[in-house]
Amino acid sequence: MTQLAPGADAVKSTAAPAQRQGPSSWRRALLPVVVVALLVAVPYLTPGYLSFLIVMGIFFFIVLGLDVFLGQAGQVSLGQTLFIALGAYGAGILSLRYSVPTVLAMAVMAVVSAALAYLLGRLFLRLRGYYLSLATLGLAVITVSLANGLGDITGGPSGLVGIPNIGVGSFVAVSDTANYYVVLVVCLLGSLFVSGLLRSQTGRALAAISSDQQAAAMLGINPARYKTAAFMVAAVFASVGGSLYGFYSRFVSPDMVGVLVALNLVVMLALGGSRTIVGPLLGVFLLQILPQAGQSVAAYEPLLAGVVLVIVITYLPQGLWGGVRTLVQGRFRR
Amino acid sequence: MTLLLEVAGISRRFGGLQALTDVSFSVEERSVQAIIGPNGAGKTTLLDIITGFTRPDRGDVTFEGHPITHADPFRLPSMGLMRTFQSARLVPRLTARENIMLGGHYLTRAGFWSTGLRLPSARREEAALRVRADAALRFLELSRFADIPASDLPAGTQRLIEVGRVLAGSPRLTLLDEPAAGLDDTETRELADVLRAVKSSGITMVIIEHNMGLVMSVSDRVLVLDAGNRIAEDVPEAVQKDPKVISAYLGEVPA
Ligand SMILES: Nc1ncnc2c1ncn2[C@@H]1O[C@H](COP(=O)(O)OP(=O)(O)O)[C@@H](O)[C@H]1O
Ligand SMILES: [Mg+2]
Repeated sequence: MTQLAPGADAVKSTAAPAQRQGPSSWRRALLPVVVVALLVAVPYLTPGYLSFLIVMGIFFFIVLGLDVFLGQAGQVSLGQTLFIALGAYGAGILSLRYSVPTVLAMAVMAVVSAALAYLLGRLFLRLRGYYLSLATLGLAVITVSLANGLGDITGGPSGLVGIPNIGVGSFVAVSDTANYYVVLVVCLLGSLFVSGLLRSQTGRALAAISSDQQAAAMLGINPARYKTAAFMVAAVFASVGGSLYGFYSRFVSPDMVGVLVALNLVVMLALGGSRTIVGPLLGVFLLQILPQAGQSVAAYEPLLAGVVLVIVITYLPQGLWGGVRTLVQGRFRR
Repeated sequence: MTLLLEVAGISRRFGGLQALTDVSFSVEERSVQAIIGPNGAGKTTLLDIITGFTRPDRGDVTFEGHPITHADPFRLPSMGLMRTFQSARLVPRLTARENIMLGGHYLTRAGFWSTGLRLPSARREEAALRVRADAALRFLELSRFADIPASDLPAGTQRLIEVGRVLAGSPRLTLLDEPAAGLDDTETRELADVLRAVKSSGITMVIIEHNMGLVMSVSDRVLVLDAGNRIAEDVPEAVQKDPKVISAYLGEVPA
């Protein structure tokens, strides 16, 4: 009964440590170590696929941020290309024309994107469902027109050429291998951040908002505040991903921030399955591998992606990875 | 005795329907106030108005002397007020334990940064929330459901998990909307024990209930609503004998 006495002090006081030391804890620790070791070894195992993996890693990182907003808070944004463009063009211009160190330029644009997401969040997040999606789709349309139209700043349709590679001090990531490691580190940090969020009280509060805003409010959760913060996380991830893309390819063009790209990000998440780390990875991989399957397939990529999306959303609302997990868990229970 | 909650002159109309007409009552600290009345009497609407879900056309709600008639619902838990719903509104994909942990959410400080970066302060709060939730689960004898997703639990259990959520938040005042609906006789008796224990732990309660046995056994005062009007407000024994109450329930004209 003493546990139930009123007062906030019980939560703040030191509690028993979480019981994590199960008999299988060494196995849980082993898996990540093996995965990371494999990822580190990739440039030596399959050197031919590095540029594919780098681009995939960047998109994975962007989709990971979207997962917090869409998968956790249940809000659809079709306008993430706005923040990708801010990150890519912004960091590109700062480092190319004003000689700002690349990492600093990336950080500056991340902060700018967060601030813009905060303002847009206050404006948009009172909108619900389709209206929010439509408003964010408007952002994607505006983004690509600005990228084309503001030629003096963005280079117009022919793009911004000659962006430097990312680097710190005298180290510059010129080779694919170096860029791969940069992206790998960023993705690992992003995964740790998002999985920490998902499994914590923040993740639960976002889940509460996505299932029932009123009931969440009655638990003391301010829906507007959480949704805005989730939108800011998604924006920062998109911005950093955009900057990395520009630094790697040393070039940004309006094609990279087209409306179809914004749509594809949502498709990747829905396809793989949200609210996990593996889901986005799977979705990004599938959508990235499609055009590699040959020229004839590449032409139909949007069509194929659309068809697969419809099938997945209809039959596997938790995405492919969610479907696999349900299947496996069902096996083990029996 | 201090007044914790004061409801004064509440009226609310939905279209052509006068759901509540000039309803007043007040709740003393550490007491249990029951609200009874036939279906559609306006009980849930009254609760919705107290908790800021519905705005009244007229009247005021005061909690510990602070007007809360127009307060945002999300500010109420930190003021000391929590509620349950007539049909449980849990997060379906979270487990029973995780749902109960949400009851103590308003006590925590960690936000996106500290949980994303897994700072020690966030982990401590997480562990403390878990301890609270497990205590509530044990208290309700629901520990066996801890790791089951809320969507897989029967409706009656879901409602008890919502009670557990309130326990994890340990507010000053809790409002329960028909917690015994869907429970069998044994479960209802267990719930009565739980409510008495909650009361003795110092939590003031407003409880909407149909089960008269439960109402009579736990409440200090009973407010009776009929078609949006307050027809009685007294101690349980007096309400039980009130001819107006009897006629409202049995549909008879008083002799
Ligand atoms: N949002 C609403 N819109 C229209 N009518 C409502 C609304 N909420 C409740 N009512 C009506 O108000 C009356 C009182 O409802 P309620 O408070 O739920 O009754 P009780 O909880 O006592 O059964 C009912 O006739 C109900 O249909
Ligand atoms: Mg009701």
